[in-house]
Amino acid sequence: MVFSSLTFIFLYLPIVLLLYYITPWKAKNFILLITGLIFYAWGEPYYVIIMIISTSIDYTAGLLINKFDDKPKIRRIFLILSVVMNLSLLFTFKYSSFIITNINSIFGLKLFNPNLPLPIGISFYTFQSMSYTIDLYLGNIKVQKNFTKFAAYVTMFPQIVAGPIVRYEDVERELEDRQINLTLIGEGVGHFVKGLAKKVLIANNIGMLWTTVKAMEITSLSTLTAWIGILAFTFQIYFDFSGYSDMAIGLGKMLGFHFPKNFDYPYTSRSISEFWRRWHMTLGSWFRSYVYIPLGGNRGGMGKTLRNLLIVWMLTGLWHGASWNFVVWGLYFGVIIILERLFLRSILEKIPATISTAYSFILVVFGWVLFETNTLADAGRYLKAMFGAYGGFIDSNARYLLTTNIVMFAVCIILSTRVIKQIGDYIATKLPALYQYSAPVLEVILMVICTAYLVDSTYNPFLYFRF
Amino acid sequence: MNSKTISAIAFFALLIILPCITLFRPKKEFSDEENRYLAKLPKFNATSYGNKDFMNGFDAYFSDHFVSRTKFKRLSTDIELMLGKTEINGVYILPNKLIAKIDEMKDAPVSKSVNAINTFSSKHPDLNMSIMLVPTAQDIYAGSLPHNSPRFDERKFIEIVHGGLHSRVNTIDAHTPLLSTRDEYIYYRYDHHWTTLGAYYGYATAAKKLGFDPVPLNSFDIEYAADDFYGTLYSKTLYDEIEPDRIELYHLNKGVKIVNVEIDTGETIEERDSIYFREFLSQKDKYSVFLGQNQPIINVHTDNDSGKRLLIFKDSFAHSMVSFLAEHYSEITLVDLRYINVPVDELVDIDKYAQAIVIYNTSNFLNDDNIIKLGF
Repeated sequence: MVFSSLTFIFLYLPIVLLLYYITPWKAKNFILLITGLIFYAWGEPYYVIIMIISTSIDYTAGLLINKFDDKPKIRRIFLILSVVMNLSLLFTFKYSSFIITNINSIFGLKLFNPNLPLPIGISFYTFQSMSYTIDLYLGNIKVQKNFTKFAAYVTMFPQIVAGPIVRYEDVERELEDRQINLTLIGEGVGHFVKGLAKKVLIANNIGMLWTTVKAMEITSLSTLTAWIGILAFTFQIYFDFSGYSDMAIGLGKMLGFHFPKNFDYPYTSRSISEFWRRWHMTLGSWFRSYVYIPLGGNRGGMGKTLRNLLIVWMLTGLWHGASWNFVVWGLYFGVIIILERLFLRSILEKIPATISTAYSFILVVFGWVLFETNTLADAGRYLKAMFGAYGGFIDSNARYLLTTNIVMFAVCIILSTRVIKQIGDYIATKLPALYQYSAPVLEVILMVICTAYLVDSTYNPFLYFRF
Repeated sequence: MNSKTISAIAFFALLIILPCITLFRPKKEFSDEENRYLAKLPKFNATSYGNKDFMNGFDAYFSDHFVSRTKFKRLSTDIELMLGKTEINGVYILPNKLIAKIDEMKDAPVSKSVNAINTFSSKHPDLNMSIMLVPTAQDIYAGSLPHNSPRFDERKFIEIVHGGLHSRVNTIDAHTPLLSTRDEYIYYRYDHHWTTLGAYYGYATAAKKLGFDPVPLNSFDIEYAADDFYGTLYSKTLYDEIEPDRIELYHLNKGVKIVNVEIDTGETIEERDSIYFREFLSQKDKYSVFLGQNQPIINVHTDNDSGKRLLIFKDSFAHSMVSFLAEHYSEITLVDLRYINVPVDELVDIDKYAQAIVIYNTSNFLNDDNIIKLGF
């Protein structure tokens, strides 16, 4: 099931929330578990079983790690079992085709390629599950002996499909004891409506432009068309993904949970290092805690630091998808970040903010070319198109796309910055009552408009569904 | 009550009221506005669960019957227009008409279609064969399209098609007469079809190649059969700020009489006594007053005693031409290649026909992969 659908908003959500609110506290987690399974099964009728199996194995591993608390070697075995099991699931369902295709082409073999369809959200829930066993092993959290509570953590519907990657330690306390009140619910509504509007009104809209450009022959694109196209995608993926995270955070609040922020105005970053502290923050912090730091982080000298960085960035790229484009994409950022660490950072701090922001933004846009094209060859061609290799600078396509989308682009640019927030903060201090009470009004208006767009939606993709 | 509490209450009000109305109101089966059947509630069983037919079907059902669906859809169109969009759902919105955009599919089957026509023509060398490709409003009114919007050059396309056809096939130029009369009411404002007047100009230009003189335009009495026609392009956009279309039926005072119209739906044969199916005039799809909706084969018998028979391979554009062509033939047979699955010879006795003509609008001819059936 998808958040941005009429079925979710007007059927699943009111029924589930109603059920959840009237259920006594003892049973609320059970409701979360069941409704989470229904939510997931709606999109994956068969693969829901994999999620149940993975959850059960991690729950059991958790119990065993706890049981053999005094036997370090044995408890380590269970940790390894959990991590291996989760990674095997990822390997099988996400990476097996990629691996087999490459083996076949390198060694000239014809191994059978199962081409398994990717279970929705597998990259999210396996990472969430692993955070539990790893943190338990490290002693950062306590074991969860109640299967319902643990399973509710993994399967609850807000973040199961597209994050944020919520670590067990983020919700440990709230699983046992959380508050639900109208104010918190109202805050959740605010996040949810904001996210829905970002997805339905902005991402879907500007995304149509990218769909149009993507369907054109790369070698027929004028410079401007190529830029307009990838800029459209740049905004689409931000508003789509951050919108979804906002909705997840909002839904979490409606249930009494506080999920971590996942985006913080990433396109205002002044360096690529900063960009990755503002984009998909929960993924970056997951890799930092569970890969970078265990590998030694930046202790152990420059050589080891560089090695660790390259490993983390290769994995970050690979997490996004099973193709060389993603590996190169991850390494691309890894190399830039290394360069920034080595010497670029001091330069970036000295030059004007406009230039460093432009530098970061343009590098990110180039990154999206790698991310969105299907093969490295296509990425190369597209980048060439952006530098005028094929068409002229401007053609009638470019004019048409630009003139019919200029307002949308302006909206995207403004909303990517903190301008609106700053205006809002200013109004909040000068006219606090107006500021506060305009929120529900705006929310209702946005809900009506979003519903209008959802009613007619033939185009409603979710980009991070590939993960 | 703080503002967040109000947010919560307002949100839940929406989330309860809208679905309750949706679920409890009586359901329509067919949407006049959108000109399509609305989804039915899917059955839940192991199969429909496993292949997601139930989930997808339910999503479609809930969306199709959602309360005020058409008002919501219209709202989204209005907002799009406010944002400066000039095209909604593949339709350009101009101040005085809606124009359908042409989608040029990659790997369009055009050359295969042309070969099929050539094959058919060579298999029936005694059959006088013609083709008339009718340009769409997108080309005739190219000058009025939004600035810089992509255009499909239909004149060039028609020339390419003509160039690929065997010289035995007569090519009829509908582009010139329609272009020169474009200030007249020759295309509908809310529908992608040409009007009866447009069809007349098509008929007049085809007449020469078909071997007769067209009946002069001023001989006809025009019946205004409907003046509130909102057609296919309305359904896609729900935009209604332009004057609605009118359906004109052209009657010839001492013209031929229609003796009988047989509609072969593939399963049954219906009989009627007029080429005008007037029940459609009170429904949304008023263009179907012209020989109804697309059926595999339609036979029109007139009291013209020349014995000449015309075979038409067509899309719906030909329907409004039949009232004019009927003057000159004892029988006209219309074959819709989309709905037949066997070679044409098996359904129709081609030797009975003196002439055959292929009538399609350019957009359909470009993208339709059924014309190749002529080559079978």
